[in-house]
Amino acid sequence: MNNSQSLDKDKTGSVILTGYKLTKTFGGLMALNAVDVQLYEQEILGLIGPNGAGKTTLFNVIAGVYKPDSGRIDFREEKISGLRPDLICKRGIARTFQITKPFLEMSALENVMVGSYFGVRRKRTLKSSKRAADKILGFLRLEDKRKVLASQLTLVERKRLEIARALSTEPNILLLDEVIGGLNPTETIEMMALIKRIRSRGISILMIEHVMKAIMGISDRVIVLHYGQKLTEGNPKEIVKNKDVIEAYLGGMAHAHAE
Amino acid sequence: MLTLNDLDVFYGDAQALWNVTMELRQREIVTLLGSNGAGKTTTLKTVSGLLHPRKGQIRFGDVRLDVVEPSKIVTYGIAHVPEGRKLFPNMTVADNLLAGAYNTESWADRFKTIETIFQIFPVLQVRKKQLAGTLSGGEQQMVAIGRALMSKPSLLMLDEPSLGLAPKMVETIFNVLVDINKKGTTILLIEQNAQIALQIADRGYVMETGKISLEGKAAELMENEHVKKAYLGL
Repeated sequence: MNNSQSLDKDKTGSVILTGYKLTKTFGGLMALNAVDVQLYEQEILGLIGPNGAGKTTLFNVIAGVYKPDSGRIDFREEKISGLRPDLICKRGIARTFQITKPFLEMSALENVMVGSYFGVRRKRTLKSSKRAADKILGFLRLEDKRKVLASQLTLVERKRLEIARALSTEPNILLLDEVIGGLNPTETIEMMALIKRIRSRGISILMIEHVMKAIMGISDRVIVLHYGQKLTEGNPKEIVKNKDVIEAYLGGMAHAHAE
Repeated sequence: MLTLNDLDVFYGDAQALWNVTMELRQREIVTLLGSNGAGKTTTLKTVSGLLHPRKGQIRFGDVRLDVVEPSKIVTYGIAHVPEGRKLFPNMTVADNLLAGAYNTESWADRFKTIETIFQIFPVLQVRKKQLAGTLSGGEQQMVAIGRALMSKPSLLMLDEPSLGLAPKMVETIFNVLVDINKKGTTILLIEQNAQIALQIADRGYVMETGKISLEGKAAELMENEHVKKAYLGL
């Protein structure tokens, strides 16, 4: 089966998602300007950049919330740009939100069932959706919380529920938007381990994060966006030493990460 | 300046705080550390009047805070940057900021104060006519902090200001906090990035499961084995 080793990009790993020259404007603001992005099978690809650089917009374009003004996205060599978000989800791309968006007055189990019933490709019975949702809650160590209303969960539990909801749609690609921000060091280490476990299930991950220890510790490669354009990309070691990245994004803390 | 005395706070039947006692002296920076769910946000919400204690008292100078409403508490000079930003998404950035200057004293100076906010966060000047809901997450965090500063508070409470901000912007914000503290503002800070919080703080409290479990000078806390392991990740 799939192993969790880091990919050797030079030899293996076929591309699962390609974005070509993605451009998206809001009024006069160019949120994305001809961005190329490639995600490999079972890769963890980090996405960083200053606030307002276009990171979440790129997520929204991939997930179909926004149509790109120009450019194209291929998922396993089929064009998906322009499809509705629900159809993109059914093709196998799931995402989480920076500020978690559960159905507050539904239990954790019901929240996950929404995804395992409506978000998957095939028709399913409620019973089998429930079984699937239970499994996912177990994987996220939320089994004790299955009957608890989402509104009653702590921030950490909500972040895990957010991931559970995304996983319930049985994705091949998971887009994670700041799931580590707001966690303490112990919780951060647990979340990093969880993300690696998700990857070892064969899922490719594109993640936005500002916690450098986490994103640099977990990513195979990192893309840096700046003013809607790709500033650079490379492995974490190269990125933390890159002068442009330090200037635009890391600031004086860079030396602490460059070791 | 601010005293919390023996607070018990509940959400319905669920108790969230037990006998919480703490104090802030004039011009201090005090940080509140603890895991998620420990009661830090609840403590801040109780100070700003969004929650009321079932037992205990909160004093700010000579006035009791625990018996008055949030709108009144703001006029005493207390501002709260809430978790999750809580902006008015369909109002412009400028209007969100101006809403922070709602109390009479700061209202008179609002256009002067907004200029200083734009100096701290230049991107907000560029975006001032944009609806707040269309900003990126980090930019929204800047608006939330700016909005609190618009009331020219004597006590500024921040609930995870670094969340969602780029490392360089985190530095900027912490420099801003040190700067406004030097100019006389007392600061109560919740921050998951305990490293940076303890660097700028005079003192800190550690909360665990709704209780204060440890308190001390920031330098002492940084050397504390439990703090090192649980909150500094060392």
